[in-house]
Amino acid sequence: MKSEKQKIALLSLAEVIIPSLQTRPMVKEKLWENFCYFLGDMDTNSQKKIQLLLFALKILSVLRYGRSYPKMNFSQRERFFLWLLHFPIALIVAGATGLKSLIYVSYYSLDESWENIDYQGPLVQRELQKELQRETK
Amino acid sequence: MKLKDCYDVVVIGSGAGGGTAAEIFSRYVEKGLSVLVLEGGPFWKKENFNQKERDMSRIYFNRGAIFSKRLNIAVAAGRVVGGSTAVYTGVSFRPPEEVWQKWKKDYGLDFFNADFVQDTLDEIEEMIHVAEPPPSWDNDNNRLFREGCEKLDIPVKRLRLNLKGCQQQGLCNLGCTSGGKQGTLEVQIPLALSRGIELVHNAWVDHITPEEVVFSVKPAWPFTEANVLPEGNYKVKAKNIVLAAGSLHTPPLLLRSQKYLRTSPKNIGRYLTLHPAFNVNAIYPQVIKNDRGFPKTYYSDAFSDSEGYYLETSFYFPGVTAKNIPHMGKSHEEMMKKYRQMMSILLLSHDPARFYNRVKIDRRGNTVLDYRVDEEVQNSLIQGLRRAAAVFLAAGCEEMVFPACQKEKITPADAKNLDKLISKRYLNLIKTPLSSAHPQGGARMGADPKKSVVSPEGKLHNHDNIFIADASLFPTSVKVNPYETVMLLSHYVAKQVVKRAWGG
Repeated sequence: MKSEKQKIALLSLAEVIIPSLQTRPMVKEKLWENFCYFLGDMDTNSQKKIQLLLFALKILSVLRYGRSYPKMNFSQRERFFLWLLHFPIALIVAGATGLKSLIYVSYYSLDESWENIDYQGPLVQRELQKELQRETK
Repeated sequence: MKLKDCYDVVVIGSGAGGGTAAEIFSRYVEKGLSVLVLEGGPFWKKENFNQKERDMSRIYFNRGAIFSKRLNIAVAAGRVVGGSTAVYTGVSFRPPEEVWQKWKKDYGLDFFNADFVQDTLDEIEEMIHVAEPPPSWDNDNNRLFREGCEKLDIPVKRLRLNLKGCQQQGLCNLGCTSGGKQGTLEVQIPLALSRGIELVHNAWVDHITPEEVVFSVKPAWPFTEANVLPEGNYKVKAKNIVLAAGSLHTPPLLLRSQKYLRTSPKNIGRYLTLHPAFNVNAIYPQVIKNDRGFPKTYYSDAFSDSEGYYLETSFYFPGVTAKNIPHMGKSHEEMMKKYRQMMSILLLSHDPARFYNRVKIDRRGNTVLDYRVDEEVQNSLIQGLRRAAAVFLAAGCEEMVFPACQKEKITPADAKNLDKLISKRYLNLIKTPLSSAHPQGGARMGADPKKSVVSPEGKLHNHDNIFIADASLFPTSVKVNPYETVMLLSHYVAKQVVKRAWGG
């Protein structure tokens, strides 16, 4: 996934799923990088499904609200995504759920997210840092 | 490395099944047995594990989530030398006697008896260091699980683990940086290599014939061992072939090879069981220490017979934890902010072996998982979720977010209404998919060729030199964490291969 449009669509969705992203543009950039990194390693079927879903999001948002998803304000986007999660077609619901999961994994595997959850990072990294500090002293 | 023209044995896979078989074969290398192990994943050594989900989730197929066609369950399976033993928690269960007695009686697996199970597993457990962890390894997650269960008079038991030199790093599922986890990556494969077996990693097997194995070597990833063969396509002749790619990949490999085989495809991939699981989380008022100690030291099998599930302690890295928490938005973010106050329980349900639950292939030969969560399993999950919620509350939690729940959050005020709040009518597996790390079955072992894929000697029906030595042999779910049972069967099948290759 490389297009700017896909990036905008994905990140506008990510803001609804993780609202604190609205005020953290740099973290959003990293989230996008991470998302692409994760997705790039998944099988072709999963990649196609995610891309198809992003396309479906655009179509459905135009059909329902007369404008594409990234152009809506936050509360409209939120309502729209919740509507998708209750959509009568199971495949859309499953796709939206899968996308949500991938966004969560992409975000919470970023070092930048850990401060918010008081996670100090992998122990092996902490031990290395301690070792470096000891060497510096 | 230069491949030989022909090997006495080619093993496909290096996890609990392939690694165990490889170690058995390696005992005969000095006497002239030639053995090649082909592993589809990279050779990723502990020195290069970094415990970061971003990097280390590559150690799983599809980043840890092979989704079923119906998108109701995501299966995690290791893609690395060591297979799933590189990513499991080391929870060590012998197969319950009622299970292997059933396999013996209903499927003609006459080699099962108490002495065989005990002697073989004594040998295996000694090699991989299975023991109860000392109490000092219990972190708050384990302690709270025990306390909650005890307050409800639910019997808890100590888990046995296969560890040596564990540094108690708190989280295990992205590979062990200290090598404390004594899976095949640390024990059987290095031992077998030291005795002279050959291993090709990043070797993806396309198909087999009764005489040869056709595979391609894929590029090596950064931070993993360099390839031992140049990238490209290869064919190698084999007098004996042992398939041990696991339930998600052995049956598809057989199906891709179907035109060269004489085994009926009717049962291949069928009777798949997954141990469908929910991992649920609750928030406590105090900080819970989860980043030290061992993530799993207790379990309860009190409801295994009556309600069809086990409860085990567990704890995961932030990304997977976030994925497991239902809902989204602000409330989800608030819950994640309390990651350090979080306790987890793994609800592991026993699923019956059904003909319609299967692994098959698409037009390109890729694995397709077709799995239905039937009524019996759904009922079991609901009962288990209610029980887990009660344990959380008894241990003093202040809130929890659950699948199949009417309310967004359950609090102590809801303690008497759990049966009403958690109900099958709110269970939506599309919105809150199950997870699985224990795929079993798909190449059922049995005496009747019409109802199975593999003979009780471990041979593919109608073939004398193609063997299977992994969890796909299981006729039904083994009900417990399966790696020891895989090793037990692999040990047995490997001995049958040696008899054939070496005349005993």
